[in-house]
Amino acid sequence: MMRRVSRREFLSSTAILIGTGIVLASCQQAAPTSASVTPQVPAGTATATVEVGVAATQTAVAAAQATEAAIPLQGLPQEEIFNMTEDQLLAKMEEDKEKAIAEGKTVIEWLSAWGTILSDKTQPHYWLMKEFMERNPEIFIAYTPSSAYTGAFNEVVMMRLAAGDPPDVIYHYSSPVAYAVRGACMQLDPLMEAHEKLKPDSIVPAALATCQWQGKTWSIPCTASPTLAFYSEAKLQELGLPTEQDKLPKTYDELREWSAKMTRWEGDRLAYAGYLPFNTGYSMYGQFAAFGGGLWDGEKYTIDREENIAFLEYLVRWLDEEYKGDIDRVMAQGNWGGLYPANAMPMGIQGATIDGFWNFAHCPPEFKYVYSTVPTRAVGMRPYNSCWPNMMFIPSHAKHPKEAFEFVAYCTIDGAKWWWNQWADTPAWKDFPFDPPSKVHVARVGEEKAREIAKFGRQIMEDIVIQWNSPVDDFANDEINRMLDQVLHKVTDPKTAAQNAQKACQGKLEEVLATAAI
Amino acid sequence: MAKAQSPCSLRHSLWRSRRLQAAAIGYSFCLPWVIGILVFTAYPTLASFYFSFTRYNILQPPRFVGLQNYANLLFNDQRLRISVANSLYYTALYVPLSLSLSLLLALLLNARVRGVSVFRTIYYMPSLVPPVAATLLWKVILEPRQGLVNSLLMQLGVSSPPGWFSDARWSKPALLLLSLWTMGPAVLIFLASLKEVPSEMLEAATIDGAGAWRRFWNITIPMISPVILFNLVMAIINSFQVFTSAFVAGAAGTIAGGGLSGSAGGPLDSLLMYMVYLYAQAFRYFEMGYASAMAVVLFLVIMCLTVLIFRSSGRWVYYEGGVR
Repeated sequence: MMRRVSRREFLSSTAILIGTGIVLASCQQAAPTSASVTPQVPAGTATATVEVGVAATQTAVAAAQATEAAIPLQGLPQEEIFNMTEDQLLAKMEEDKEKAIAEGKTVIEWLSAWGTILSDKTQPHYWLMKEFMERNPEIFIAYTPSSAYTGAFNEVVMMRLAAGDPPDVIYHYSSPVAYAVRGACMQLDPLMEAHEKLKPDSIVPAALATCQWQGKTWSIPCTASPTLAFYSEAKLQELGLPTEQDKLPKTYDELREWSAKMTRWEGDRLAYAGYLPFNTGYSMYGQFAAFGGGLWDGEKYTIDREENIAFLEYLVRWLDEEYKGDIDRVMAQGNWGGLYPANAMPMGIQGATIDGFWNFAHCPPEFKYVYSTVPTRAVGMRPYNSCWPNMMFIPSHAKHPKEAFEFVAYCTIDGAKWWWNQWADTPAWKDFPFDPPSKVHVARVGEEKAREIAKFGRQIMEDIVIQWNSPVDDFANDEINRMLDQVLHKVTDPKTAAQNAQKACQGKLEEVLATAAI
Repeated sequence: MAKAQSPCSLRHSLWRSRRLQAAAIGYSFCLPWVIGILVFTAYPTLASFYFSFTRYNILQPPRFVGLQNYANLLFNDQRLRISVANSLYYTALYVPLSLSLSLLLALLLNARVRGVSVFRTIYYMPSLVPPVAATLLWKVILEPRQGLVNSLLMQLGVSSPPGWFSDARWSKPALLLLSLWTMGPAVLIFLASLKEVPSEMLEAATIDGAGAWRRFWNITIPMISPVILFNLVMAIINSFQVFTSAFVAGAAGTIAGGGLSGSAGGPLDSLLMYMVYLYAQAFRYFEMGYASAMAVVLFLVIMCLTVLIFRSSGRWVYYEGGVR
């Protein structure tokens, strides 16, 4: 017969069970990392196979690093790190961080907008950390990818800054100036002045300007990839158009003419598109400027300038004459823009696009292109292009600002080679050696052409338009998007749309500046 | 001289102390949850209410501005009106569609046929897919040029199929389609309630000559009306708070969406739902005070609607035994 358990007995046994559980849980290893038992691969055992395409790029990069393959990062060979799950990696990093603290190292936390270092073995962040720690054994980089917070990056940055628990350095896609005017960013000019190499005049001025507000520097553009025009070589050849760079369209009228030749409708179906000027995102800043206008002059919004309105009208005419005046029909028929494998150009249904320099590294190797600068409104006008910098900033109350800046400087100077070689992001440091060219370019197009691309990339960085440094950058980008959307859907005329966007953006800017902390 | 306690009062005080002890133990078990609710629900709710009267960007201390946020919200914000209209449109379609379709599915899954448990699993599975993954999956299915749906439509002779998320006319129906795909929980709840409908009542009605529709309308519906009430309230709350799917689909469908990322309103702001706009205000534009005001208004609207529904429930919800 079962004995009846009293309440006291039940509670005491529950407490014992819970207590045992807690003790066992705390004794358990943080994650199945198996760091201590994994044999390390001896140096030089990594084999490089000759492959084509994307694999070839990865192989080229791996081959370049083969000699260092056995140098562990955080106690593990690189292959094992790349074979981990996200949770295992995060647990391992936490474990290593504790170890570094116990060893008396300075631990700096690097919070990154980039999702993970696991998604792509050529991802530069891993190599940046690895080499920096090898050079600075007294510093440990605790890498926190945005995936650690399931991608809710903005929220995490804001909360941590507000809670007084900032990371030491943040890699962000949004404007650091937006944080700076709210008192959350460290001014970097004094640190730059004191640094041996990373002086204010050591960065391409146009690139540095994207991180400055009223002459003060709030972040560093480790790289600043400019935009350029890409054309499908096969399509140009098919139409009998020249493929030499100096013969590619220099003005918008020329580009429009070429685009019209490429575009082909089959009834209601857009079978092949030439250039779609309205699918360009961040590069619109450069395109408005190249048309003689400009959306932002670094201090105030200038969206309703006559040249901008003229450009909007020009886009509508283009839409009407070449794309049957129906933006929805056009957008519904392809993944326009960009050179990534899933985009329309490599898929063989689009002839030209304007996009970032990094596309060289991401387009399918079999896709052949030619490239040139973003066209201007008329011959002889100053060229402009947009850029997308990889910006790093140090929060106001960072625990180790000096070491953090040292890391930022490394990422901008020597470490920039990782961005360059693996993602074809163009370094913003003036003295960066663009020769030898990017390994990813060489793997795709060969040494000679890669050298040409590198030279071209460095050259057009001088023409980067000012953007990214507005205190209300995200708000303004949304408004500019909206303006384009409304104009191309013809629900608002270009002038009214531009005036509305101007009013909203400038109004917001002034509102924020009224209580600015800097 | 100490007064001797009577056996009766001694028993009473013992009983009292045991009762107190039991209560203390009970409360100590509840305490973690009580603390959780106070810290993670009550405090943020109250803080949000306070922030709604301030200009607050999270990084600097809040500044009291009285009713300014509410005034801006009511009179000055055109995008807010768009987001309200979008959310109302979505709710107006989602609530009746999700209720009727999930009930229909539950009725089918209630049938005594072979392999019905497999179907139940199949219909429930989509709700286990994380919302972001589900949205991305539907983006692929509804991809205008090569997606499954448009490929089928083209084979059926539709020369210009819809652009779905990239077309302002079709983006909301596409979002509805995606949302309805994940109605598994509502189906399960309906199914459980259908199992509770007394079979003898249905049999008696059949003997009395009632047809299938009459049995459904006069017996099944009243018997499951408390569950309809529950699903109705939940559907309204969920539809007003739709965020993830609209956010992910909206970002993808925006012209010039690439680099100026995060706009998330979709073509012509057609996917700018109330919560998407609230998120943008809080975490893109640094306007936490304004976002808090938006949250308070949403809370009041949902609360009013819920109260109205509960008030009206006396007329259409049948509780067996008359207990409400």
